[in-house]
Amino acid sequence: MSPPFLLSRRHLLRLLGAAGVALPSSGLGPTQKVHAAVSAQVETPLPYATGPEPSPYWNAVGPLRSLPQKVPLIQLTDRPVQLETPRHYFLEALTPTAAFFVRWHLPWHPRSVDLAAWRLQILGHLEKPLQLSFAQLLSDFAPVTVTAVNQCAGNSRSRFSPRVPGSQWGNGAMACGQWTGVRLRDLLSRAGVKKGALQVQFAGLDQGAGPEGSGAARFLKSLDLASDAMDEAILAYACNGEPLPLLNGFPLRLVVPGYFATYWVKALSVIRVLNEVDDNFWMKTAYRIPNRPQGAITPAELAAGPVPTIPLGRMPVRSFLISPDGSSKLPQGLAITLRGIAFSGWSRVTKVEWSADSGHSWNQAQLGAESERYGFRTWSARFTPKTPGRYVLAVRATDGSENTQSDAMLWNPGGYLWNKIERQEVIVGPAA
Amino acid sequence: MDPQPRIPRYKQVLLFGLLATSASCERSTPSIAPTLAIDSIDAATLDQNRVATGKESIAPPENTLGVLLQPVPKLPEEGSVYAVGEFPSHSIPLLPGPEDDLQLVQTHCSVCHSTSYISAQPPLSRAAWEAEVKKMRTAYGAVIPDPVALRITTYLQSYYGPDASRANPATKRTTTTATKASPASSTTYRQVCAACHLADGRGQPGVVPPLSNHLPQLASAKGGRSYIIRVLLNGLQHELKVQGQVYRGAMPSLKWLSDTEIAEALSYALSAWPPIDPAAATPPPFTAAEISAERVHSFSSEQLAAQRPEDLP
Repeated sequence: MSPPFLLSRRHLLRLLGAAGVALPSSGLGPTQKVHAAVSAQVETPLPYATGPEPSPYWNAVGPLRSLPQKVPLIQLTDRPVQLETPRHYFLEALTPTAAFFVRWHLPWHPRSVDLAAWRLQILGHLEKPLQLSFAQLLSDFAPVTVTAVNQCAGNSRSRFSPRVPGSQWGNGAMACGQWTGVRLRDLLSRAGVKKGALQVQFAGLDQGAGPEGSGAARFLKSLDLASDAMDEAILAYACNGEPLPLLNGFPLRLVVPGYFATYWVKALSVIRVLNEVDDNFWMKTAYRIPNRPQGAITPAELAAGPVPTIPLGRMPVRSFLISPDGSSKLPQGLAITLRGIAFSGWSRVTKVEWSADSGHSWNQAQLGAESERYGFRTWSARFTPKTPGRYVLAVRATDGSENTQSDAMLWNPGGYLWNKIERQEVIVGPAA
Repeated sequence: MDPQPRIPRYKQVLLFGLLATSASCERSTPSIAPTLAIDSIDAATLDQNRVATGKESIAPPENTLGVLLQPVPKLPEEGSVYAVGEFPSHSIPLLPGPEDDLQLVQTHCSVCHSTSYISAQPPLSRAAWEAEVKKMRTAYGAVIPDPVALRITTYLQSYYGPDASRANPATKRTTTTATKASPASSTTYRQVCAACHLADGRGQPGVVPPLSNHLPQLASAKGGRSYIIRVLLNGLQHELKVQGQVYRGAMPSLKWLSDTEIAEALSYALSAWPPIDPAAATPPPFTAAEISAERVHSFSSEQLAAQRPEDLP
């Protein structure tokens, strides 16, 4: 005799699993590989701009666009191209290369590179300047692979209050890739750095319309030869085991693990060793922060007079709740899995905490598999809302250097280094 | 043995509701569907479930919001060149303002970036807009004369400033006034060149040389066509003497325009205005290939000024 037909736990799992809801089961819920933004009700288009208040949206506003070698991404600007990665790509520790955000500064970023003609030039204060073909980079140097987060210094700029000019990123100007290439130190030692060298300057193939020598002609970034960034930097010809899309820097891109993306020069073609400090616009004027803890200053202090600034460098610790994103109502009593990522440019993420009451009380989340130092670390936690109503979920991370996130005032005129605690409202409905 | 297990009535309702909410569940639950004895559920319960599953709305409204057209996939060509096509541009129209000011913004700002850089900004303070325009001129070397910079700043402060009400520009789209009927109109000329050379091509005394009654002669002179194209591609900041008058304005580089746009604008400016000498022949129109061929060179303003044909009438 068969048992009376009841809606078994197994059936319920299958039913709800297909509908995209994770249930309590052994361990945590299955990973959802959602590779498109979950849609809101298709009624009202997002505005083209937000403000004067901080943007309330997780991602930037702007249309989704399909560009060559990319999945549809959120367009901030069209020339030069700036695209943001939608939220749901961050459910995984590695971001698909085709979903990587895009940020160029100058309007002629390459659409075409002839590898028969392309050479990486290593010039300047060197014993033996080099010219290397793509084939030589592949064959003459030991390949190294590092996992590292590439995040725009202005990621989340649209959160600033008061708002500041610049690309109005939501949270999606970040991505984590597995980069393969040549160690920068290996290349420089082959060329033989002369005594007295101070910095290494990087130039890509991109060019602008401005007069020679101005910030609108070339985008140039430099690193101190003595910096620890130099030891970990690689020149990557592959990301996630694929060639780089042209929009992400084909054929070669500087990867500076832990550092903001401004240093990760794309379509790299010239490395110049300098025996003086680089004073080009992109080092001397742009991408600098007040020389204060966390680069923070108040608008009033800034108005009172100039403050010393330093070039920004390593990324502060951050964490994000990716799912649930608030678009669906959660039934009371149903355990769901909170999922997200955390990372830091200083050291490995060691702790992620979540809150269901906007940060009044905190619970420890479960960290994903031990990640590489500079990669996304996934986290998850089970959450069973007991009563219907409005919940404000919050998440904060701590890294191995004891850096953590807070709600403290964070502002600077460039809109850089945002890392305040992230929050997400969700609605819980009655189930009976 | 009972082949049709009986399901308590409250569980039938629960199952029906679950199935109805998720069409994608059907494949995973084939054995459940036949067991439902729906006719045993009364009408009131069904209605209740319809409301619960949102099924009362039958015909959804026609709506293209959220639609994203797929491009046709394409294999790259063989060989050592790794290339993709043009990155499509799409800028939201700027908010309507005085037509001349809009053209100034369009022309000068678009040298380096599209105007989506403007429309994506939050409402900025008047001081912030002033600082932005100043930064473009000093840090980025944008060639914008003082009076023009003032007009651009005023436009930005008025329409993208703290007091501006930012309606959806799709519904308040700027209508560019059409120039008077001409043999062949040129959008590029109207939107870019006319900002300084004016719609009738007469230029501005002492600042911007004329195109009418000048460009055809220049194009007919030896080396003239290359010179014209090179000025467009490289810009020119150099004192010029044209028909006895000295001009000191700066011409920005327009190399961000496509070959076709430059050829079209130049061809328009060659033939748009009746020549003073009716017997003068109009030079042949410019072609995109001519423009493209000149892109490989780059010239300083000094070099270009020296290349200017001298034996002009």
